[in-house]
Amino acid sequence: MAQSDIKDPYAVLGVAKNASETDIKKAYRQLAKKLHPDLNPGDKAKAEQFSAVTAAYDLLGDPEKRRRFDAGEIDANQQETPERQYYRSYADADPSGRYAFDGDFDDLGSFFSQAFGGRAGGFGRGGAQMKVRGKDRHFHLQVSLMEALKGAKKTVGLPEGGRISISIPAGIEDGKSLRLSGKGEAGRNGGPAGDAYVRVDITPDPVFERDGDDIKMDLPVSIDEAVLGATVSVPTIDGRVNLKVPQNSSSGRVMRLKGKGAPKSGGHGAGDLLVRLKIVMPETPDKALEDAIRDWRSRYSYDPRADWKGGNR
Amino acid sequence: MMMTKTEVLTRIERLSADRLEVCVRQAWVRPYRGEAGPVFDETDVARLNLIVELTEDMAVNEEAVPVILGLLDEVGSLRKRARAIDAALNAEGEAVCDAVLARLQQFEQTGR
Repeated sequence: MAQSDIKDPYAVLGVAKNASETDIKKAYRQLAKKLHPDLNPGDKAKAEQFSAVTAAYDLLGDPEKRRRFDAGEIDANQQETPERQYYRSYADADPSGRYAFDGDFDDLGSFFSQAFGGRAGGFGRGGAQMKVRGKDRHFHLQVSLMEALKGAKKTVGLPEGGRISISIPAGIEDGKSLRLSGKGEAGRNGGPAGDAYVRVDITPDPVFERDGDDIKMDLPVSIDEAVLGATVSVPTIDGRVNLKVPQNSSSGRVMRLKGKGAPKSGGHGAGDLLVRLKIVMPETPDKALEDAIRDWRSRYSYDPRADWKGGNR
Repeated sequence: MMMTKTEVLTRIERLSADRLEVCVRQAWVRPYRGEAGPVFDETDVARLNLIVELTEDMAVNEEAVPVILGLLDEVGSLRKRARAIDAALNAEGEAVCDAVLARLQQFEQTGR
């Protein structure tokens, strides 16, 4: 939330204290057309003025709020307006290019057409018969982490009917876009088809967490397994394997299963599966265990914080 | 995070389901196609917000909406390209920037 520092909302909107609801709306409308940040990209002064105008209108455009302000019950400075991002800041950052101008800038000169050409224009001239490249299509697929790691085949319906099938390569990263050349809309007058872009988002997995080429996983172990060592069956992306937990393992110890991680891009090998041990106490306290530990402590004790950096802080 | 139509409608109070339908059909807003129908991102929500403000707050009529959006897209693309040129020139160093600036001043003064 941002606070717009306005003292007199009537002055901000340029209306009299006794202005009618219609007058206030009209004044706001005029100012919005002049000051809206999306219609004045890059103009900071107008953006600030617009936020004051919006705050003033939030107050005076609502008869009940206006009555309370006039009665001195609320202050214009208490008027909170949600911090908002205007369209242009999203459009600026949008990697998909769905709203990029698809005409060409050839008329701006040879430098511009060389520097930025090739997207839409450049397929010969000639009025109505000009070859026109088809529009790009934009798809979105939400996949599980397992599908992203193993690869998957998906189909998506097209607005004009029919379906397009999309292969997701094994090991794709979250938020990445695939480009399917020529899978966009058909061109006109013999122009080439557009491309299809497929943005892939990955739903987090409750067990596996991806970290670059590696996959991380927490493995709960009992105190007896941690003390005595054990062989535990653990899931990997290629099915279950037996993992040897060494004797006397601390919580947080990381075991590395080579080659059981994410496929590396380019199809050469895979990262590792990093299994982090997490010692879990029994659900209910146990008298026998407590007695045994008490007895053990009387004969043998150790300082787990001997090498700990927090010891001398 | 991607949103369904229903989620978009809860995000934008002043947008009705019919109105959203019109915005998509006219291609004023171009959502991604997902397995279960159209999905929207934050850019789409911001664009829909702008459309609501244009038509509700600024009394822009239906026919003018695509004209304004088209011009805004073109201005946006030009600004993006201008920024790319700025970055490219800066990467070339001071000497190149000074030379280009001198040329620009010359064009402004003499018109050629």
